[in-house]
Amino acid sequence: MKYLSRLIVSVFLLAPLAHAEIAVVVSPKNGNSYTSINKELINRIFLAKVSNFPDGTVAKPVYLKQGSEVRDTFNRDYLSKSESQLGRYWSRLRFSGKAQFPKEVNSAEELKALIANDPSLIGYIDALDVDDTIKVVHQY
Amino acid sequence: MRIVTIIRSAIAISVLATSTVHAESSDLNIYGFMSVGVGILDNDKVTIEGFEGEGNFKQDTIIALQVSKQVNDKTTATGQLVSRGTDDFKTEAAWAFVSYQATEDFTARMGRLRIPFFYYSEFLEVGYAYNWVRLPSDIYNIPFSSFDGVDFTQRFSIGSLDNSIQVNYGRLTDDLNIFDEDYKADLRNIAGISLNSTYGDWGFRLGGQRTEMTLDSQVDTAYVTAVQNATIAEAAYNANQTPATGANLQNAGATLADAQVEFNNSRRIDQGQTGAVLLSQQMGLDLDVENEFSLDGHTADFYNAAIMYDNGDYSFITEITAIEYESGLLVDNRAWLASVAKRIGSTTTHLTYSNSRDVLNSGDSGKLQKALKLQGEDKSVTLGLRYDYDVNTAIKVEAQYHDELEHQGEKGDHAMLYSFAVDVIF
Repeated sequence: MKYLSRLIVSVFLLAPLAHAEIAVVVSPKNGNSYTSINKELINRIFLAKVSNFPDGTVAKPVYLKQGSEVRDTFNRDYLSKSESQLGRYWSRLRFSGKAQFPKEVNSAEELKALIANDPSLIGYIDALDVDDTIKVVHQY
Repeated sequence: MRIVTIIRSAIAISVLATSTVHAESSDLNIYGFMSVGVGILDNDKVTIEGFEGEGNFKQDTIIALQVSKQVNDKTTATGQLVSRGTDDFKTEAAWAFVSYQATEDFTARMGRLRIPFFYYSEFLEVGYAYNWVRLPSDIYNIPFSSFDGVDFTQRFSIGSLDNSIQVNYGRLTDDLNIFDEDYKADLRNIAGISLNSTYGDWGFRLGGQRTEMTLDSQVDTAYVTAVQNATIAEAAYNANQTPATGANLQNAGATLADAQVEFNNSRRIDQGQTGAVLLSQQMGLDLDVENEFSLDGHTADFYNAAIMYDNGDYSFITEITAIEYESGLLVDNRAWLASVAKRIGSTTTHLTYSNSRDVLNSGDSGKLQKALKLQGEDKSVTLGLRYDYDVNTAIKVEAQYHDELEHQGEKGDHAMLYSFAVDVIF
């Protein structure tokens, strides 16, 4: 009985982690440290509010394609926006000629291949897809 | 041998890199937005947002295509062609510019641009980009929105406060539609500055614009002379009733009747300008009325401040504007709006209050404005639903209570406007 309740508690605790855990990644050549890049800065980079990493180098976000579960989770956890709200946000920038929607890729593999050698790029993938071709700067 | 291989692969990589860049820069991006809508007004004695009773399908209908091409690393050419139901679907370039991104944070643009009067001005026709069916006309009712010139945008951050300062300068020569009548306008030295800042879920905006306005409106001198002559003839007849003064009065009256027909057919601002000259004489005002009540290079100043909040579930905006006209023919205006919205899943419910109030000048200029019945005051309450059908489509329904507290100097009427619209981006 005690064992069962412990099991229930642990299942309950694990439940929030059932969705994809996000790893925000950059190139290993990117000189910025793990501690310098927080969730708030990631939000600002992905919404084109800032265009530099803390060390002053250029930062360009890369999104996963629409429909990806990882993208939905990232939108919610890092950008506080639904896909529609994100669309609205970018439509304001696009139709006032201020910015184009950032580059989008189809898969974690494509993202890693793109980012590996370009220190200006920053993207997000499922934490399970992390390998040593890229560097994790934030995980949530 | 080894060195040769390395050089070869280096060349291969650079060729590859170049071709990738080339593929990217040769991409022609085509985007667009479209709105279709219908509005029904329950009172045909008032005009709200361009609606005058009955079902109107054309007023809110608009389609736009935006084409952009990155010409090289730093240069992009963009055009946005807009076709509006209100304009009989005549196509017009709202934007047509070349932008040069000198650094990550500094951009210069030249060509046809939007005037960033207020918060929504740069995307004022993109229905998809906001909750309302259309922007509240208590604030967004300036009869021109684009200009030809340059703007420069510098972005900078102070800690987590991200800012952009935009400076614009240019000119607009165009036909303006004011009170449903066309005027040839020349707006010179359109100059302004806007500061937009964001901090977390918060946004702030301050803006100011100035222009020197010239319209082709004019005093109807034939009418002024006819009124003056008739007044003199009447006084002469009253003082001394002879066949001669009687005949004079009859002639003057006939001339005036003809002039009156012409006057009645003239445009509203022409009438205002003519009326100003006559009334100012009758009222014995101490005014250089021909100059003060005309639009001949007179300045117009637009000021704006806004505060926004959006945490994804709740959003809020309040915006306040002030317009100061040097000419007495147009009345200074103060307007503001406050809007709250709550999102549940794909549905956003929003409630908005807006108010617009004309402010008469002080002294004789204000007395004349009052006599000309130029001033008005409006307030609106709008309750609406936006449903995001999918990522590119929003469906909206809205009920707006509009109260004309004062309309052309008289007590106004009120009405309900019901609207339905579908907004799409592609």
